[in-house]
Amino acid sequence: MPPRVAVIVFPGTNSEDETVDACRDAGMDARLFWWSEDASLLRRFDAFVLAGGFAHEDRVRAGAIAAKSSAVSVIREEAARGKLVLGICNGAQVLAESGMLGDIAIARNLPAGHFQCRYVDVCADSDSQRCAFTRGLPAGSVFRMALAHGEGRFCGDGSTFDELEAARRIVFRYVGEAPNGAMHRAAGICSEDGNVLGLMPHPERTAWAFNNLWDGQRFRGGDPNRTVGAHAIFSCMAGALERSRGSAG
Amino acid sequence: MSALAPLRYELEVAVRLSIPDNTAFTALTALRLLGYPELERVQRETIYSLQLIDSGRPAEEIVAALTRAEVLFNPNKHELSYRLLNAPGGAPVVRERSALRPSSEARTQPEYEAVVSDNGDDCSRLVALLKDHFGIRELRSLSRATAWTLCESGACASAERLGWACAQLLCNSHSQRVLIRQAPRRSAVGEPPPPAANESR
Repeated sequence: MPPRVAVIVFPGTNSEDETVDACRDAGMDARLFWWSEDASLLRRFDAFVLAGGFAHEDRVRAGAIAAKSSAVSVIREEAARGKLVLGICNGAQVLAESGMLGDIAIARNLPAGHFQCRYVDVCADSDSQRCAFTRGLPAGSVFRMALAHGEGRFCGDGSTFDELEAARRIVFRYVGEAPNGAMHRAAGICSEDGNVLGLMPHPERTAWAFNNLWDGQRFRGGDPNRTVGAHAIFSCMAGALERSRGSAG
Repeated sequence: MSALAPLRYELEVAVRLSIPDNTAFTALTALRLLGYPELERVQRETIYSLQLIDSGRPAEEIVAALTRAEVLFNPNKHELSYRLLNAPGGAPVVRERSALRPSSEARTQPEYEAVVSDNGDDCSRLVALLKDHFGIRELRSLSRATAWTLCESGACASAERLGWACAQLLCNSHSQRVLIRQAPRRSAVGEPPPPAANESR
């Protein structure tokens, strides 16, 4: 039986369908879980993905309201027990607001000060073993992903980022200058245990041949629905879930 | 420093929605659920603090230019009020103009407000826009923040309650800072101004 993954939908989430598809194409049994469902049912799942969008219309701050929800409270408890949690874009903002990524915040883009929407290249840290979502990736793998946010700047005080560096918790970095002004060019930061990842660019928006639009090769040969590039993150997640089942069994 | 250097002063502009504020309502609902059931009303204003040099142009004209620019303010959905700090010539007289919408609502002044601002915020593009495209040539720098006021039982919430609300929801201490202060008196455009506050911030 494939691992069960809940893709959380808050009012304003807008990337849930492609996130479910990306999980399913990696062999996971993913389904949507609505914020209004009984949060205790989340305990039945093996992993969670907080999809991108604008949960609660980004009111007060991006992710601030969703972070107070009962669903996120349960996810926090399950993460403490070692379950995997992936937050993509707005999902990463929810994770940061909930404290699951430590003493960091995700703030307004600087110096642009406005919404950024473009493709970016993101490089995985050379220590791929550090995080469940990078384990198995070749060292220094570079993926093109879609970036679409107005508040995507990982920030915190300098000593916190020194600690993140020492602990190898910045598992994805922008290649070149960070388009949102993120400290240490951080694009993805994992929790201390490596089972929670907050990732600002969207891997699910460049996970198949048909939505890799930049190379002009998308329909030339092969199946346009084949998974490519950034889909590897979902494959790593599926692999980690299989391994954890194996070790538990 | 030359004794002839132009005087600097600060114009603090508060912009609030005149239509229902969904964000304030969401904050109200969330704070009630987080343990503040007595909370009756949340009010939110965006505060812009403009550092200006005194060019001799009356402050009322600068406020009028700001409202015409419609960069910080949209007359279809916002109300704008302002005050001067360290004003060079005392309080300006603001005349009512047809182009400026006076505040029709008599505002009850809250006792405290929490002013939340982003660490390291950069408003240089906004300054350039207002200076270069909208003729506010006196503008030297600008900072922005959100001012929150809470009301319970028909009265304004205490500073302690505001501090609690900021810690719970309204301020992220990893990326923002908060100043809880007595809410200053500000004039709506078209209303007689309050006395200029010659205070240092």
